[in-house]
Amino acid sequence: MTPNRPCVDVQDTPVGDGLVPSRAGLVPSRKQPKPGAVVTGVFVLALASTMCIVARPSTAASETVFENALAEFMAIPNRFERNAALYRFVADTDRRGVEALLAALVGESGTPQRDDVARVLYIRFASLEPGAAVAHALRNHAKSQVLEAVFRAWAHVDLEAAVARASNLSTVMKQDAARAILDLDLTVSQRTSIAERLVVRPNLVEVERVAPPSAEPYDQALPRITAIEDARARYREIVSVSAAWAAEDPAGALAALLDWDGNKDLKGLWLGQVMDGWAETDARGAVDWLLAQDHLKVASLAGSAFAALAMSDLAGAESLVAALPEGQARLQAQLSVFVAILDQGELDLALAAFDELDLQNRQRYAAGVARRLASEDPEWAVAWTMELDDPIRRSTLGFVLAGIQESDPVVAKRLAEGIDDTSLRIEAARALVQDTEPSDALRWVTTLGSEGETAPLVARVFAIWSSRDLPAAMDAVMEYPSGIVRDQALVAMVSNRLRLFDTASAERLLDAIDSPTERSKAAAELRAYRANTEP
Amino acid sequence: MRWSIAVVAVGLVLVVALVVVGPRGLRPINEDPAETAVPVAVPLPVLESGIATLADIASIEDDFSRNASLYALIGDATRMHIEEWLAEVDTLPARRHRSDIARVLYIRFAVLDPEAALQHALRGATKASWLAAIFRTWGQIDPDAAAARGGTLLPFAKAVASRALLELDLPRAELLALTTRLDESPSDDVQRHVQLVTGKPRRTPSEGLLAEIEARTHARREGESYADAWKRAISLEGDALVRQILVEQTVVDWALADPVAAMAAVGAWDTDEVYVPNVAGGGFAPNQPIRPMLQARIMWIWARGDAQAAMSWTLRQEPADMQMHAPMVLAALAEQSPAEAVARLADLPDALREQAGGSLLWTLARTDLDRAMRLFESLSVEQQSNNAMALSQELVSHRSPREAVDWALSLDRRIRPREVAAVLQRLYFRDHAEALRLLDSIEDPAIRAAAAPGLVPGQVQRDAQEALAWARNFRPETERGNLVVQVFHTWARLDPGVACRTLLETRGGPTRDRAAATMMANVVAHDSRLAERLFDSIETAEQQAVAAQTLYRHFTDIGPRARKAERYRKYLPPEDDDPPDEEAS
Repeated sequence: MTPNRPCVDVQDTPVGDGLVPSRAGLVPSRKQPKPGAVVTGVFVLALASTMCIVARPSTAASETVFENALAEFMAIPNRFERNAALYRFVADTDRRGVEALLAALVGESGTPQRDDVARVLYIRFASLEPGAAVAHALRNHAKSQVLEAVFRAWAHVDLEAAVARASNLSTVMKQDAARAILDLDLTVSQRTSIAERLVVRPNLVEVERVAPPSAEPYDQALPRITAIEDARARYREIVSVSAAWAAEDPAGALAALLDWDGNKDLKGLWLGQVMDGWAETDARGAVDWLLAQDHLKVASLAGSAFAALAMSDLAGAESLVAALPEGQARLQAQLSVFVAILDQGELDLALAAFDELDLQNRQRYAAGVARRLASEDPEWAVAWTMELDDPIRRSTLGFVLAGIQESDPVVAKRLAEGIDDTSLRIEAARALVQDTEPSDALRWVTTLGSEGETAPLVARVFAIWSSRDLPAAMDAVMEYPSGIVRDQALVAMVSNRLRLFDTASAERLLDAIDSPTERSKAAAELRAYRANTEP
Repeated sequence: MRWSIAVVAVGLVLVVALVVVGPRGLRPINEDPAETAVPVAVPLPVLESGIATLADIASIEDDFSRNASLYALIGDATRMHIEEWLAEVDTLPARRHRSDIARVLYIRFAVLDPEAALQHALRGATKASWLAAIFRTWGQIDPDAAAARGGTLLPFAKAVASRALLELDLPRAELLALTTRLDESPSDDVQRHVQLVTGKPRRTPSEGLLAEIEARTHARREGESYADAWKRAISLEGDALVRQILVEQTVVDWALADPVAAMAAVGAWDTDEVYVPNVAGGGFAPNQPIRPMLQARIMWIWARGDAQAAMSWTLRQEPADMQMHAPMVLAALAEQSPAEAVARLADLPDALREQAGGSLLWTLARTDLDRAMRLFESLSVEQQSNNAMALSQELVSHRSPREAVDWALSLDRRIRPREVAAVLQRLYFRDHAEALRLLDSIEDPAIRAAAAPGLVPGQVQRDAQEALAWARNFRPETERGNLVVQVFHTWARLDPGVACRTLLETRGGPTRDRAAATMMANVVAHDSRLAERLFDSIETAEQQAVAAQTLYRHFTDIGPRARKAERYRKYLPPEDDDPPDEEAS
């Protein structure tokens, strides 16, 4: 049987705002229906359908008719009314009719309503032949919300068959089915078993509860939850209850928590959760509260409060940072504001803001900022790093170049070679030799300065080499011209082997050292190792 | 026959008409006449006209019929009605589809007031399908508002909301805008900070989810061969993350059907693409090439399905490939049969066995801790050193704290101090008091001295004053000075002002001098005058020289003050005795 598609060839006869008759039949109006109009239309639709059945029960549906009908349904913005109308529209539609409607749906342009219409049609399909509905969806409309609807419907009437079919799906589709099936009201053992068969976590569709069933006073909730032994269950309860407190009375909750003399580790978690919840909904209120507190006690909360404010009122957040006295709270607040600026993606602005950070924050985050720059423009990143004050510059340079090396080793080396200051150049190269083939690294580092200047780099290359492939490293070091550079390399290799508990190789390397000074250094290290580790 | 159909249809019309125009609340729903006209998979209960209730509707197993009846019942219900029905759902007989009735009620609720519907759903033991229904409905009314609200939810609920919204059939630009709204919540601050510290641009959770949804649209088609799907996947242009997800999904399914072919295809893929870690992972780790990551996934899937075949194949590979794949096979085997996994180590060439044994520990420790401990004992000290953490973390989690510490104390003396320290640090985060008690119970003073510094950061973060008292009373006494210096060093990073003032109130001496010099960089960045007061408190020349270096650099490069720089230059050893820049003033 075809859908309850109207077949009344009456044009321009108004029967309601939601559905109008047309040459194609009785279809929803393109005009936005008023509330209630759709159900009236459905009534008429059903009536027309009856007439149609009586008059021409086997009329073949043309695709155009279906397309028009579907387009009209999709024009109903109210999801509930659209679904309600659709449920009636296809109430006695057989499989062939559903397939025809689905075929017509393919031609519709993408709108959020299209998938919704498909869902209802597939629920009807699943009601008739669930296995065929799955096969059809996989061929034509394999969206997750469709598969979820089909498997939900199937599992409600035949759980085992639905799970069996789902277990044969591809990995991604299996997850769709699992989301629907595991959402059912199942026993724990059913859930575990199904999750195992579908290769997903049993808690795949778990959702946090937000509020406790009834308001619980702080002095009762805190000891109760602290006493929960299972750490995950305790965490979930803290998240849930703190969200409720944050919604009801965040200032009161924070005050109670600050006065709480309980577990200090949990106290920090509680405070953070309540502040996060508060800042989400009322960032300015949270910051104002923070500014009125002893900043030493609430330093850990400044970050999230200011982060929230910076998102809605960046200028306000920036000005309020200055209202905080120097200390951890201000550092955290300043950093949150900086992150908000960086998030906006305008790197010039972000770099200007970076210059305004306290030295401590500049030290902490220079490397990250430089790497962010490097992802845009490696040369800019290195140039910016070179402008930083020491010691930040020195500690940042290698990190940045190592980051560049991950995506472009040639550029990284070229940029390191271009650093004028020899000691900085050598230090920067230290970061690059780690991930370079040792013999290549050896050739490269000797080009970066005089023999004396590059000796530490040569030693580092040999040390790295010896931990990866000791025989090759030993051959190479013995082929290296004898002298102080080779001896320093041998000392580095001795240290490396001792870190790997390889005293035998360390002794062999020690024997190869010519310089009495270097030899005594290595010997001292070997002695110290033995004193510490051997009985 | 035709007439009987007509009668049935008229009956349907009457039912629908009654539903539409009848009194609110109890609506006559009788699906039977309509359903008899079509082949229905499950016979429907007969609902008497005019008295169908929610409970009647709840007895219908078939989703379509139940939903249709429900839609008719609640068609123009008010919010109060909906809330009453939602309360009634809990009282209905527990059946698999009971909660699905609430899902439909929430669609109606969301049309009336999406925020109220959400609040209601979140109040109790909510279902993912309810939230999805609410957000799908809300997203069709006001996607921007829905995304903004979805972004404020707790992680699991947010994931459900995000999926519902990002699956809306909207233009890509609009979906991208939704991802921004979803991820702008300050609760994602930790992720932003990680991104800032690592400097690696990272996809937000919603961007990752959108890529996943997009990849799905290119997934292997019904009837398409894996090889063709693979070719299509690797040729996909545009977003690299979408391609990576698609490639990975394709290869995972191929591995289930034909792992050897999947492995060959990945091996033949000429690419230098790197693997984009998921939104939570990666950290400072360098980006990995995508091919070995995919090969590892194939091997894992293969070995979980047929470990013997996977192992046989692995043993026929070149040594480098064998080295890469064997740990994966053994790990998969250790999940199912720990004894077999250990036995199969013997099949490996000597050169690979030790390392593979070390890798195996990471899985074995989870699946059979006692066996893992025995395997650990058989390894070289180098492998023990590399893999001790695999055991220590499981011991701390699953055995008593005493057992965990005793195990660390039983290790080779070359790695013992480090491992005892590591175990105590782990224990500290679970139960700091117990960790301190166990530290105190260790007889060997050298081990105690080696383990204590690892607890300093936690101690200071918990309570800096208590940490100071602990350091001052530490045994052996010889370590007290070092610990006190470390406490002040950590404290100065967290709160330089208070740390500095506390130090200035303590008795003078070499320990205070060392602490002052160690703290100087943090204090001067915080308050240069306080730093100078701190410097003035230092009595020993050696520590004055150390502290002066920091102050000299500060007053030369960072906050240039020529006279002050000159003052601290005088304390520097000769090689650092450079005059300040002329322009510094």
